[in-house]
Amino acid sequence: MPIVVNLDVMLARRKMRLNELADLVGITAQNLSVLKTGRARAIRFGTLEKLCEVLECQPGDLFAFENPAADAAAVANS
Amino acid sequence: MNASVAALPREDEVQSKIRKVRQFGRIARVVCATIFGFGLVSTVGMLLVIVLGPFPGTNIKIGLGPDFYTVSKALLTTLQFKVTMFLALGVVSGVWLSAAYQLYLVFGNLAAGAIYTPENVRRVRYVGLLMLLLAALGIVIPAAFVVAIGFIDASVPADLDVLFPSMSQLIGNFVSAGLILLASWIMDVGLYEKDHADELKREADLVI
Repeated sequence: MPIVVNLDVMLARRKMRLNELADLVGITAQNLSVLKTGRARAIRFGTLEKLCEVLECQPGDLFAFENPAADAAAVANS
Repeated sequence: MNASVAALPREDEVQSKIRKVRQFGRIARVVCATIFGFGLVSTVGMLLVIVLGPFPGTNIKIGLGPDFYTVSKALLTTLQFKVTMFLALGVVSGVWLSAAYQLYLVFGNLAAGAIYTPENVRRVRYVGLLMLLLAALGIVIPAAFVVAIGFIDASVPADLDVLFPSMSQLIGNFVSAGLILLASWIMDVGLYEKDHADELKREADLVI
């Protein structure tokens, strides 16, 4: 999936553990792990709001879009 | 992936019905096994009577017309009679026993709690098709017999209605076969809906 979840980066920046974030956000560590490993199919706005609030970041800091076609073209050009 | 999944509405009612279906499946499986065993023994016995006979006074009913046995005994030579009855009884009993066996397997699955499965849908469809075949055989076998009799002895009177099942019996056979097939199609649609619901649930589990 071209959407990359940068939750582990944000956790490292905030020096926070997954369980701690899960407690603060109010979802299970298991669900947060699903999100962190990129297995989630969707995220609720409510969950996103809480994540941004706790991590003091923007939604764009948590997710990035990597276009596979553009990546392949860049590799071909190089 | 919620930690605690809320019970669906009618959950208790459905669980109670599942228990009833399982209990019914256990009883029906025993009944089917008994019918199958009895049918098998009867078929073998009747085949023996046909092979060793014909015995005077006997009249075997095989789901065709009421007097198929006596008429064929009267019109055919002994060898022709034996071959005809052996084939007719073999085919009709074979289809009956196959249907009983398929039902036995379906009820076995129900007793084990496997209610909405592709295997059950397939087996119920087989039962419907076998019942349809039986209904068709009720016409085809006597019709073939009448045609064959015409070739063998053209002087035989055409009044051979007694070879065919009655109209109400024929209609009943076709209607019951149609209803079983309809039930299998409805089950098939239900199975698709269940798969779809399972897929939606899996999707919902991955919404964080």
